[in-house]
Formats: sequence, C-alpha cells, structure tokens
Amino acid sequence: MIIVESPGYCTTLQDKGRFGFRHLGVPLAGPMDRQAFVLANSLLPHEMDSCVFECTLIGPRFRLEKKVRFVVTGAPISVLLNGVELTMNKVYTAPDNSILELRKVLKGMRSYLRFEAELISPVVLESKSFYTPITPQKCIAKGDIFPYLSTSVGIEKSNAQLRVNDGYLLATKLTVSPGLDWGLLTNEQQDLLLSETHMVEAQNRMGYRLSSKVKVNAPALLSQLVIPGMVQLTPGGKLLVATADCQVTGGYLQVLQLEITSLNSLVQKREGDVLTFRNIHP
Amino acid sequence: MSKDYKILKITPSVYSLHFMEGLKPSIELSILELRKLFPAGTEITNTFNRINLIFHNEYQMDDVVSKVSEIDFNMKGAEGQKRTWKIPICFDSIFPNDLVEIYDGNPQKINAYRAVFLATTFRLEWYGFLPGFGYLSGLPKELHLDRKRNPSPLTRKGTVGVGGAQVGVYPQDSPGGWQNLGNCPLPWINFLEKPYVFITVGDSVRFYEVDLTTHKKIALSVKRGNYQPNYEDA
Repeated sequence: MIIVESPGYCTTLQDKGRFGFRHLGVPLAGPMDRQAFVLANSLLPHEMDSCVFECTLIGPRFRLEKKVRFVVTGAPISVLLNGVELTMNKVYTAPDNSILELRKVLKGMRSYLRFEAELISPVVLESKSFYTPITPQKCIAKGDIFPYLSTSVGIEKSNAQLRVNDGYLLATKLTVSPGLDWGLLTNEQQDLLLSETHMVEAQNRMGYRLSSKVKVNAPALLSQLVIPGMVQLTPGGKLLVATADCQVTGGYLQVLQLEITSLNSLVQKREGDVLTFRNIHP
Repeated sequence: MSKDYKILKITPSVYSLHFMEGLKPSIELSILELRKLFPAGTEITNTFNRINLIFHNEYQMDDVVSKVSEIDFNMKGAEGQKRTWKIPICFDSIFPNDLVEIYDGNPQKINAYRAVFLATTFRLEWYGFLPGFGYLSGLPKELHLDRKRNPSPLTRKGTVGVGGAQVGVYPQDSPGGWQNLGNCPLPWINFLEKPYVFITVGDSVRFYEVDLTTHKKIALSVKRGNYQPNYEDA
C-alpha cells in the first residue's frame, strides 16, 4: 500500500486519459507533460497500468509498505528515499516500509512519479485520471491509501536509464502553426502575436493564460472543438492555451496551435515565466 | 454540384468538416457513415456546424478528403427512434432567476417568458463545455438573452441557463456566463453506466414546471437511483 503522509501541492493520479468521451463533453485529462509520462512508462513498463503521480511544484511524501520499483521524470525535483537523495530518470527499488519523499520542484513545474505496479484507484469512464466530478478527488489528500499490485518484488535493483532529452523543459521558444481563425487577424495583429513576449499570468490543468498586446473586436463565434495545445485569443486580449483538462469546446478565436513538444515545454512553465512563439508555417 | 462543406485541418491528427450555411445534414446519419470509413477508435464529435474527426495517429489530409467525398450529406434515411424528453424545471425563488433583473422585476413579463419557454420544443445538438452539458437549439428569437457581461463565479448544478440562442443545464457547479432561468433536479449524465446520457443528439426536450416539493422529491429519487426520466416517442 501507498499511504499518503503529505499530499504535496495538488498531486494527481494520471493515466493516458479518457480518449473516446469528448462527444459527452468529457475532457481528455491525462498527464500535462506527455513526454515525461511516456519516459516514465518506458523506464518502468507495466501492461496493466500506465498510472503516474503528477506532482506540481511540491511533491508528496509516501509510506510504501511493500517493496516496489519506481522512477521520477519530468521537472527536476529533489527525491529522497529513506533520507537518501536520488537521481531523476533512474529506476530505484524501495524496500519494504520505505518513506519516499518528493520535495520542491527545482526547475520547471511538473514531475512524474511512477511505480512498477498496478495502482488501485477508481476507474471511471475507462480511466483513473483525476478529474472532478468524474472521479471523487481533485488531488490526493493526507491519509489516502492506494493499494498496489507490484510485479517487481524479487527483481534486483535495475540501472535501466534511457538517454533522456530534457532540453524541452526549459525551452522558451514555442513552435506553433496557424489555427483555424488565424486569417481573422490583421497582418499587424499576426506579426505582433509572433514577435511579442508572452508572460504566463495564470495556469492550472485546464489551461495557461498568457499576456498579449493584441486587441481584437472578435465576431461572435459558434463554439467549436478545442484540443490541448490550441491557443485562443479572448476579446480582452488574453491568450488561453488549452491543456490536458481543457473544456472540449470553446467560443474564442482559435489563433494558433502549439506543436506537441512545445505543449510539453509550456506545461513546465510557472506563473511569471516568459516565452515567445515561432511559426513553422508562415 | 458544388461542395457544401470544407475540410479543416487542426493538427495532423485532428480534422473538422465544416458545413456551409444552408446545409443541414443529418449529423446522426453522417456520423454513422463516417464511422464506417475511418479506423475504429476514431473519436467523432460535433458542434452546430462541424463534425470533428480525432484520430489516434497522424492521418493524411488527402485520405480524409477522398473518404469524406464518398458521403452524400444530403442523404435522407431512417434515423434511430427519436424521443421527446420531459425535463422538470423549478422556478422557485430559492433558485437564482436572472429574469428579475432583465425584466426589472415585472411579473407579467417574467411569466410570459416562462410560458413561451415551457411551450417550446428544443433539440439536443451536442454535448460540450462540461461533462454532460447538452446544447439545446430551438429557443424562439424573442427569448434570446445576451450572456452576462461578467460571468458569475458560481453557477449551481442543475441551473437551466440561456446563452444567446442556446439553452443548457449545468451538470455541476461551475463558473457560468449564461442567464439563469430555474433549476432542474435531474442530472443529464452519469459516469457509471452506459450509455451515460439518456438524451441523445437529435432527441427533443420539453421542459415542464415543478414546484419545490416535487423538485426535492425528484432529487431524492435520483440520489436513491430509482428515478426514470420520462419521454414520448416522436
């Protein structure tokens, strides 16, 4: 069992997400940083379960009752196993009755903790990904218990370590392509959007709000499909970038679409960080 | 024949079929045809004027174009059984009522609005915004209400709202910019059992007024899991 001694700052459980339910208005969910998620699953594959704990800025402290292998990927974070400092992207074995503690994220925003185990947590609409009110919880809480079926008992400590490309974590030039409503902007507005520096004003799992000087008199648009990575411009001159838990539809101008790698870079940004866009299809 | 739709590429794995004004295809029949043409597991969603194809992997624009060109969007055919759902709405004053502000508290105008609303047959066009938030069309023009200038930070679960020409019932507490008419004690989605929603795209919806006692009764039977929504076959 995993016993949550300290939940950290909004730690959630995420698997691949709820592909196939958007026609009911259900968000995709799943990990914000899919690259870190895939890396964690590559380092510790498990055919029954792709779940990771997504940690935001401050990680959790867990008591682990039974021996289990684990790995931490994504934003660099200080990790202690029974008081001993560990390395990112490297598989370790926690012995019976361990304390695993993820402290502060050092650079970036989101770190991923994966156990080589099948975690027991409610499966709703074919996914364990936290999203209220579909799942009971928004974040894990102190005292929560996650039973797990570990397959790693008896396996010796592995040194499996992939070559990790983590340059994207700190990238500030994000690659975009024109969105469906790009043509509704004037040339001046387009140029400004691509040349100005945008600051992260607010963020959560639904999306990132970025500053912009572009002002539009947007026509009233019908609500349309919104997918993670879509950059919408509000009449108030804010950019809203849709991320994992984004609403499935929205009515703002769809000006740009982030490339997948750049979306992973974006979700590692904190409030106050700055970035620029680079258009790959002028 | 000139094409009455265009295909929009959002990403290499996400496309939208945009129907030009004037073309009113049967979304239901079109989606059935699209399901036959594209790989199993492709997500197909729709809004008022678009059908969206969301593939698991990259898909070539040319292949989308050629497959979609096989479909006659003017097709007529037997659609599934359409139902008209009877949905309770409570106008009790314990629920926020934005008509008071809109009509300066004039009870005649508020009652007149409600009478036309209750006499209207709506159509479920699609689900979006929140899990189980259905967009209803059919609101008579004189009942259209502009969205709030400043969205309210909390709109309660069950709120029946009007945003422009659209009507919807909030499936959960949420910020909301639509004008509140009353409250519906019946949730439109459950997350535990297929088909998850009882009103399907293309079905009709009629609201009927219930008092607070009935509202509470319905809410209680929903909680106990023994409330069956009422419908008439069209």
